[in-house]
Amino acid sequence: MVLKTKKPFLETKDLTVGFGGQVALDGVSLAADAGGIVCLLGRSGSGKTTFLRTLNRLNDEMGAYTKGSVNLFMDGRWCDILAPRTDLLNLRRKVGMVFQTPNLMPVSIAKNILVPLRLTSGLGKKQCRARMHKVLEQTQLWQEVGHRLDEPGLSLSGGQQQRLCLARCLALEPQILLLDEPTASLDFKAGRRIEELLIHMARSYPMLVVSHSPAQAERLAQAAFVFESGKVVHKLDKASIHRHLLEECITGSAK
Amino acid sequence: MTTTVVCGLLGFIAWQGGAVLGPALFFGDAPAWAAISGQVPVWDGIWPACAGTLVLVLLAAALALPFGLGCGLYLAVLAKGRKKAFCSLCINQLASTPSIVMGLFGFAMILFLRRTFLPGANTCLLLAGVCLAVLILPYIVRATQNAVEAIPLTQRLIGPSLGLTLWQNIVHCILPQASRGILGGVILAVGRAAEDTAVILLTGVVANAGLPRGVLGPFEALPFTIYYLAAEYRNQSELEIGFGACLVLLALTASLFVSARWIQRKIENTWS
Amino acid sequence: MHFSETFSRMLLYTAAIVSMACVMAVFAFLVYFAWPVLAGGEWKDLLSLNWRPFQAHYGILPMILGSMYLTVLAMLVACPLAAGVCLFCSGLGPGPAAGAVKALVRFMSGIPTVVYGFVAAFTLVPFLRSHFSGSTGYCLLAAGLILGFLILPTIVLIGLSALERVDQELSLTCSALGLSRVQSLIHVIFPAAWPGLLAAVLLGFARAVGDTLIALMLAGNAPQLPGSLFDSIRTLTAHIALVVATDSQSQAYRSVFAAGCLLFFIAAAVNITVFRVRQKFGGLSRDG
Repeated sequence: MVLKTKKPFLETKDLTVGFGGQVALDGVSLAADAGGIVCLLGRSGSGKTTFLRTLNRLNDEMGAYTKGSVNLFMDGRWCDILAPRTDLLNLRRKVGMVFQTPNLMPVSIAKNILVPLRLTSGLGKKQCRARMHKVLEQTQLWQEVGHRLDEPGLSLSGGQQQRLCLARCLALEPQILLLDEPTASLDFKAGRRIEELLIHMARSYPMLVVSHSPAQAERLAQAAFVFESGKVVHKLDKASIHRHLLEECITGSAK
Repeated sequence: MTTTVVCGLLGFIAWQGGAVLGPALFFGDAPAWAAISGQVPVWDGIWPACAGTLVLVLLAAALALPFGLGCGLYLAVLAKGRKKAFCSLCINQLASTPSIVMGLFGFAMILFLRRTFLPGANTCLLLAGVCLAVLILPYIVRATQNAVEAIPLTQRLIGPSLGLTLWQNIVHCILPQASRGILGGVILAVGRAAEDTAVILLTGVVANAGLPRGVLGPFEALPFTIYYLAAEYRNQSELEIGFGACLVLLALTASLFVSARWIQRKIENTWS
Repeated sequence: MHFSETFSRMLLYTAAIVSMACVMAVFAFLVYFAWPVLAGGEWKDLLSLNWRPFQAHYGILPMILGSMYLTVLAMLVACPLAAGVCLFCSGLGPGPAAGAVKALVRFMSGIPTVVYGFVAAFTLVPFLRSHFSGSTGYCLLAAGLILGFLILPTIVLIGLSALERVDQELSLTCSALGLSRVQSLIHVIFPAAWPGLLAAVLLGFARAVGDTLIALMLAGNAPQLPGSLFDSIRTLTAHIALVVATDSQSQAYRSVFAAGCLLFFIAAAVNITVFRVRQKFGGLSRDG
């Protein structure tokens, strides 16, 4: 599947999310197009991670309340994912997520992919292994770890771990990818490698990437949203990201 | 000063108890293998008490484990806000209820059963097991909850973020990472069950019951033997048996305690 | 929703509900059996100083007072010692020694109560008997001393965890201000950790009130008001054990259940106080 034209895949209206008494997102309305990475920018605590976790309803796990509407374009139609009857498991399988720090299970490299895949898809052993091969190729891990799949996942380097996380989530054949500061815990070189991978994959998947670095956004994004204390304050396209970056530098409000 | 007292205590027991340690302490005059299998009754050894404690502890752990695990997981994974606070408060209350009150609870159950539909009910091994299970339940709940909550948040979110069901998440992601912590807590809880005297005092322990015959019969237990001998020893050799029993019980709880600490120490190293 | 999802949720809920039901059941049984005493006018008799079961006097006041005296004595023994051990472990003592003492205190919490009782019965009691004339040795003092040692690890371990948490936040600041380790401990860290220390003392108190074996084995168990440290006393907990074991009449049972209720309420009061203290000052001492 290659996304040729820009098509909207995400639309939120008056999205408000809070934890207990604290409001994390305050009336966010935005629409995003597929066909290129969409970046979410902002300082820590501005609500970008919360926004990302709303899209696979992961905030529910942490006792958040959510109001407003969120629609995702999946399976050829718009789905209202905040509807009370939403099948959360199905939603989370279709919306893949990679976290800020690599979170592998303390088992072998192969099992990190195979266990969740078998549990959620019900595929046979052979098909699972084929799928694993495919996603490891996709994340450029096959050449590096293909010969030592039985070693513990935690023995890999940080960048490899993060790519394994990405592979694990690709194995479930998601339709949308969410990445929460995927390079924040990595060194410069490993981070760049992931960035290249993401740019490459953004041709096949609608993708949202949280970043706290405008410079990274400039390298990655087709479009970007800037969050500030729970609200979206700017919508930027490819051209205006650079200008915004400059302005922030001049006025001194950038990080 | 504390150190002196504790070391003095340990030394005293080792000195007094070490002298009598040997097969005779456990089996008296009876031959060992026949005594273990229950063919020959043991009159002046502590083997029946050891066996009673063993059965009792296993029973209590088997009863408390499923509920303790479930409740701990509920507190750590599912419960939020007010429900969590209320459940925690209940578990704390259970933990701080004196063990004698737990024994009284068992005794009250028997009184209640006698008055209602089981006039022949009497205190027994099963009852003591149930009461001890209630006693150690909060320890298992807390251990499970703490072990699960000690897993970093992103690790706990693997399962949900991949769309695993709650059950798959618990079995494949949470339990493997929390198992050591839970095991440590369970071992501590078992130690607690092995040493407690007040509960079994009211729920069917008897001084000369021999080996436990069934879950509805009377039984002996190590801590009760010690208590009983302290109060009613008749001669020097019984007193020596008392010291021997102390040493055995102390060795049992100490080894449980040390292994639990060792396991917990390992975890601290894993996560830091 | 998937079936297995609902099912596993139900399993966890059931486990939680059963666990909570245990507390309710304990409470319900105690109240059920104590109710005739509490509701009828008999509670006045219950609160009298007379325990003569064969003449139908079931006063448990001596036991309540006995419990109180013993607990206070144990706290008087344990608190200063615990404060000393806490100070020693949190920086006054040399590093390895502090670690060793801490390990030892941890180990103390694993020593069976009955072992303390047994050893004391053959060391401390004869010592008291021979050195203080007119005493049998089984007395308030013996039980108080040993009980103090029994609750020491509870207080020390909970207190230390509170201190360590505060210490992490404040010790650098204190050093930066040029305070010595002793100064910062006494003037900054102890005061800042007081909610946790209070919780530690309260939980130690609850442990002392609830303990049965020490009182039963060492305090002599005479239902009377003690005139001195060397008199025999009977506590609520020991009272329950003795009455149930000796199997007297049903009226005596009721007084026992009243005693059980009282112990349960004391535990509840401590529990709720600790909860409140921690809730109010949650920033510094969450759970323990």
